[in-house]
Formats: sequence, C-alpha cells, structure tokens
Amino acid sequence: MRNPGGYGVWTGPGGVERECDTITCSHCQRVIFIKPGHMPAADPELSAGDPAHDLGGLCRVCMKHICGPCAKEGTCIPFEKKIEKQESDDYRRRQNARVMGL
Amino acid sequence: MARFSIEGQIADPSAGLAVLGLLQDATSQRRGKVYDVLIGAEGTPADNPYLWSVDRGTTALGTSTPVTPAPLDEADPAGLLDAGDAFTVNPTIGAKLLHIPLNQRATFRWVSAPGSELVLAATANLSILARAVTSPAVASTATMLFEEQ
Repeated sequence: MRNPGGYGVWTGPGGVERECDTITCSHCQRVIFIKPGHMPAADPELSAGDPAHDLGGLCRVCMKHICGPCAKEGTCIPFEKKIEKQESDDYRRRQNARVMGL
Repeated sequence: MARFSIEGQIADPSAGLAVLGLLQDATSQRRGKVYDVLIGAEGTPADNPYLWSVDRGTTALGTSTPVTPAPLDEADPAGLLDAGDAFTVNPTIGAKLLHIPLNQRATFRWVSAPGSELVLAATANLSILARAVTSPAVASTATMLFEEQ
C-alpha cells in the first residue's frame, strides 16, 4: 500500500520470509496487518464489522488510518490528544501533591 | 532525539509474563516511542505455537529485572526511561497494540514508519510490554528500539 505505517517480517526456518505492511491506528495505536491487495475503506461505515474491509478506515477529520473498532465509534480523538490530556492530568496531580506536601 | 535499544529474555513465558518492558517510572518526564520490535525463541527448535502480544501496561510497573537502555549513538547521554525483562509480576495490562501468531522456529520483526511509532506518554507508571499470551515453556527473547522525546 502507499504510505504504510510500518512493516512486519516473519522469518521462518531456512530463511523463508513473509512480509506485510502495517498501519497504526491514529486513534488507539493498535497495529493492523494489511492483507496484500486490500485498502482501508474511505467510509468508516463500510469498514466497521465488514470482513471485506477489516483494515479499518480513513478518518476524514484527522485524515489518518484508523482500526475497525475506532471506525465504528465514529468520533475523532487522535491518540496524540489522548496522551496530551493524560500528561497534563499527571502534571496537575503531581503539582497538587507538591503544594499539599505529599 | 536519542535512540536506545533494550533486549530481554525470559526462561519460561508460558504464564503470560512479560519478556521485556519499556517502563515509565514516577520521575521520567520524556515520551518513549517504540519503533522496532523483534521477538523469537532461543530454545531448542520445535514446532510450538506462540501468540505474542505488545501491550500497554497501566497503573503499576510490576516486578522485573532492570535492563539498562543502550544508546544507539554512543555520544548520546544515558536515557531517562527504564526497562526490565524476565517479569515475575506483570504490570496491569491495558490496550493490546500488536498481536503476532508465530511458530517457535520463526522470528518476527516489526518496524514502524516515522510518525507511526507506539508512544509511551510521559506519565508515571506506564509501560509498553512484549509478552507471549500463549507459548510453550521455552526461553524466549525480545528486543525493542525506542526513541526518547
């Protein structure tokens, strides 16, 4: 596929290799192996739960590849936003603990 | 940004214990980005099934043998993130990021494209773990390359 998010290589006995592209879900970071010849569906409704489109979809808000379960949710919360919130919550918790002398 | 390698073994992964983990302790304030994962078995070759998993650990770091991340560029300073192998107590397992069915005779490598790394937030007590969900009692090994940011 064009612009894959990664690459997986299985090396068996005798050096036999199987290779495939991967995409990393922009919303949850799950890594999905791409079956050769398949492309993520542009419409999340088409991809959710449909074995023919098991690669997930393309989020048209953040314009990134996403996995099937995230496509089914129908919302766009990029993983970057989630960890920014996680980090700011952690920072606030530590600052509160410092102020309170804990 | 400095890049590091961590490598770990476990003698018996059959209980689902993590082979290798990249750990964010209470003081680390840098993100970790895992961009390369290599896994395999180092025991006597045999046809056994593995189901490897790269998971997120949440809320606790578990118990492991400390591993010192090795800088890929020797001019880089020591890293701030921690690592451990041969877990005896797993961290709390959260999201499952990567599932790899594998024969014991085979090895697997996953390399991310830039921007698609597995990100470890700069938040205390988080981790990214490589573990065998299903496996024989055979010594197994894992390597991760990551970038601190």
